[in-house]
Amino acid sequence: MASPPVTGARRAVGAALIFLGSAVLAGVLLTPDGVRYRTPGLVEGVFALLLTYVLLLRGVWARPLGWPGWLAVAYGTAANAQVLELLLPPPGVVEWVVVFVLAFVSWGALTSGPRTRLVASLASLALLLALLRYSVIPVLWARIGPAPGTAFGLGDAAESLRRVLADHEPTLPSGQLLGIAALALWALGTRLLWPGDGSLPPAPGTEERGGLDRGAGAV
Amino acid sequence: MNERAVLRDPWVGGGLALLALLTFGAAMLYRGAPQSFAEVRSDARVAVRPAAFEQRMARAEERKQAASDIASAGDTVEALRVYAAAGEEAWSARGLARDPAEAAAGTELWAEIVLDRSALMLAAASSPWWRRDDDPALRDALARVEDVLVHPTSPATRGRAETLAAEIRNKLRPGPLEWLPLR
Repeated sequence: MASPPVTGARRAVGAALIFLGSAVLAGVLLTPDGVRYRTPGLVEGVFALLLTYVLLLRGVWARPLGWPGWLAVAYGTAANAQVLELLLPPPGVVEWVVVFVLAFVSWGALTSGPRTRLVASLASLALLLALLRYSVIPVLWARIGPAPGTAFGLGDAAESLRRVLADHEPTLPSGQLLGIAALALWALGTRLLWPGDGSLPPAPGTEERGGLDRGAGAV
Repeated sequence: MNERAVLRDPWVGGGLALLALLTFGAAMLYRGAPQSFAEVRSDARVAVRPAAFEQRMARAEERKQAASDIASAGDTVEALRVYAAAGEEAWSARGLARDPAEAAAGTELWAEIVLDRSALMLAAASSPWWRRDDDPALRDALARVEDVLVHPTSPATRGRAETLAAEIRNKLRPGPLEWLPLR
């Protein structure tokens, strides 16, 4: 029978594998013109590092013990960045506004309360970002102003305005399924790193008795 | 944590090996940016057996088909790029042939790809009579077709190459002369 530290290492390696799958899937964008492979930019990278810090600080991810734990955190950070690349609006005014709001508002919300609430807040944030990127922007994109090359030049002006607002690229429905799979894998990886079941220690000061925490200990 | 005990655990060791392999695969996937599962498959086959004639031929066929599809979709620049990659694969296959029959098959596929690419270049470089043709592109296409003509190919391929070369030479004639017969 394996000793607890080894079990923790197994979970860490499993989480790293799952985070890798999440990162790979989140970067694949299926468009009508072909497949694009995205890598995160500086905005997503910095945001991912901050998110990793909060997840470790709040004990959503177990405190790393030894290199397998740090390996899982490294792959988790990469998955964070790719998932943010998937969810954040495309470059433009909309993205700037969203990032400003997140930078000034969300960190306050994410660094208080029990860790179960942090996970729920992250899920709500992901939902809102997905709504903005995959519903609001495409709908407005199709309806704001005439199409390029039409209306005696007005269409080109409208296209420029649209590009300034958000450099949107249409995606296929199957591409959005890949995004869902990436998010599901991220959640599974986080579940594996969830502390409190004996194999992974909780971070100091994060022990609590919430419903999700009791469930986590059963796995 | 005891580092040696961790590494001795077969699940951890196996998982780490799998992680390294999959990380390498992911890096290759993003670097190659394949556009279809067929391309991923042919890439993987060539990566596993880079010196195998059959794998290179299959890869060249797949790239040729992909280029044809891209050209049909209207993206000439990308189609030319993919045709070039297909030609290189077919030429590599020809170099890996183990007997004259395989060499002939490799040459034949390479010639077909070069002729397809040259035909696309001819179409892209040709303009209506009141505008200039893209003569450097036409000369490039002609050089490629002439390269095919110096290699041994089937009579059908050779005939196609001669027809295409005559068409390009005709296009290269100045102004309205291209409407007059060459002979």
